[in-house]
Amino acid sequence: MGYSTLIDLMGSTVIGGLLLLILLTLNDAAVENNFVYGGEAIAQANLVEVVRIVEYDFRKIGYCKDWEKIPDPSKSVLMATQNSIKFLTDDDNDGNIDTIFYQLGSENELESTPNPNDKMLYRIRNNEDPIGANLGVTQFDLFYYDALGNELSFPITVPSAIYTMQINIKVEDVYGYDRAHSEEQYSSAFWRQVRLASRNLKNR
Amino acid sequence: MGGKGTILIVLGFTISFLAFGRNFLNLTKRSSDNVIDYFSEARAHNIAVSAANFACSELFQDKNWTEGFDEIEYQGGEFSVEVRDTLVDSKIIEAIGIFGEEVDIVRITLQPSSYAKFAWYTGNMSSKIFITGDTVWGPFHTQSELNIGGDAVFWGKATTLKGLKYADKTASPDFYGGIEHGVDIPLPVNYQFDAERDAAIDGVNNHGGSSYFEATDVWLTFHDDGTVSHRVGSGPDSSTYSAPIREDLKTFAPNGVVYLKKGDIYMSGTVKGKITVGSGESSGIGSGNVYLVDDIVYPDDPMVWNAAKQKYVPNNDCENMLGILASNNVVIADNDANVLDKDIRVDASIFCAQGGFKMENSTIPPSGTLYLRGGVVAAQEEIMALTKKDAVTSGYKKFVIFDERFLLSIPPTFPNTGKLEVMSWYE
Repeated sequence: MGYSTLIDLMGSTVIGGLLLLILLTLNDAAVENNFVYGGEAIAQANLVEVVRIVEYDFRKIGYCKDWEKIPDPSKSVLMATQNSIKFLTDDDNDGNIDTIFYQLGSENELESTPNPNDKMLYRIRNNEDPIGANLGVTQFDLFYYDALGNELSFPITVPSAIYTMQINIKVEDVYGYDRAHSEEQYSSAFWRQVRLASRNLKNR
Repeated sequence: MGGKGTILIVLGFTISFLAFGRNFLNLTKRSSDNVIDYFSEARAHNIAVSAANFACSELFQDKNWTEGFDEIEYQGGEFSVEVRDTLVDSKIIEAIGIFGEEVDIVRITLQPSSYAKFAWYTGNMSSKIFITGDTVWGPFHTQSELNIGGDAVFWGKATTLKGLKYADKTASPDFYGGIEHGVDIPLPVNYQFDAERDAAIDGVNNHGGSSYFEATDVWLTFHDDGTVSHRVGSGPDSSTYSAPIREDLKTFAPNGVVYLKKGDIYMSGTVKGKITVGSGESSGIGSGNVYLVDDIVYPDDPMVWNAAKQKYVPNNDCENMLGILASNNVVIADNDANVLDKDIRVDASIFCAQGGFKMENSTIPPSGTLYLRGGVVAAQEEIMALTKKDAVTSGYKKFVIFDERFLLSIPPTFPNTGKLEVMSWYE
């Protein structure tokens, strides 16, 4: 057991350690990527679900299977703000008028989740209890336009002037990776419907 | 030993990374599937909407079009359209859009469009203006510029073909239902009341009625018990007319239509029932007019004020309807009943094919208000009031409440546009 053997042992230990360090770093990166990609996939899936529901409902503003119950559909939007809208529709296509109310909740309602920005998006049908799911919605902005394409300013005092609307929805991952170091770690997905027009608002 | 350990570690990490890699691929695939699914749904939906629009376009050009479309390739998918008639004079379009495995359906109900859907429609405003005190609750449209000479108030949606024109720089109208320009809703030139004439003649020939007249003037007084007194004669002096015949409205006009060819109609009273009164086939402005010699109303209110909603709402208990048609003008007669009692009340939907709704004498004393619960469709705007410095010196301010029942039901044979309109659009 000479110096050369000792140097061999120390050298191989250092090289082995470096190799192990590289492998552990790789593993850490893989775990992070796995987490981030997973979060992005979840955010995207959540966004698509929210958009499906919102589009389905908003396209039916002013619709009723028994049209005589909404003879003047231009009056179907009952209330409209930047984060909420209430309108008449025939939700289940049974010929009876339903009222649908979309409203974005406050950040305080979801303090239990790590993401400080996520909010509940409520869908309230008639006078039933609010239905909401935490899909990580952080933005639900509505902008309204009249028949000439001019943006209506808030507050909207004449909802019947609404002809089209722009919908912006942003969904973030409710949990993030390495949150202690950066809030940027919440994966997000954004969707914008530039001009959604419920055809029934133009009837008659 | 060290070599084996190294190999095991490398193998272990390799397996671990392979598992991660597979997971990454799965995530990527799921994300792609999400996007592709949404894209396919949206594309199928757009194809169905386009197909529905194609079908509407065909029906707007030819209301008897029933061919539909069958498996037409479009935008990488295909669509089919079926057009069905219903038992209530409406049509249903069912458009199916297919893209990949996604299928979407758009279902539209269309119905003949009536002119009774306006609170106030004017073909040509010429130099006539809306003044301070004029109030219109309901849809307004003009095919010309909308002339504003004061602080008129429009509570329903207002549309114009050629925009707004201020006759007075201080004018400040309110459009609480919004206003839209460039909307083209033409009135047919020289509209003839063929359907009304045929209905009245049919009532006389086949149902024992007597509500068809020719080359005379007719005086009609409606009573709140559902009867009407009718006389024939000439001119505004009723004392020169024949003795009145009072009979049930359904006996007099079994099809609900009174029609006069080449003459003027003088009318007033309380209408109980559904009736359309038409004065057509005029030869010049000396005939084809309807004179309102006093109030003409229903026994019950067609629209009532709802304090909670802060607007007028239909009174569903009111089943009475009156349509007044004139090939020339509907005129507020210059007589004691209208001048001494400053206000005039009219419950009806009025249609003036070539003329307008006017005063017989535009210099009658400063008057009150025209309370109209129904609507006016007129080829021309006529003078209803004269003003000086925004104050009415003679005539009437307009207070118009659209009878919303006319969105669902109209007086017998009331003119329609001859075209279909979309009543509901399901997608």
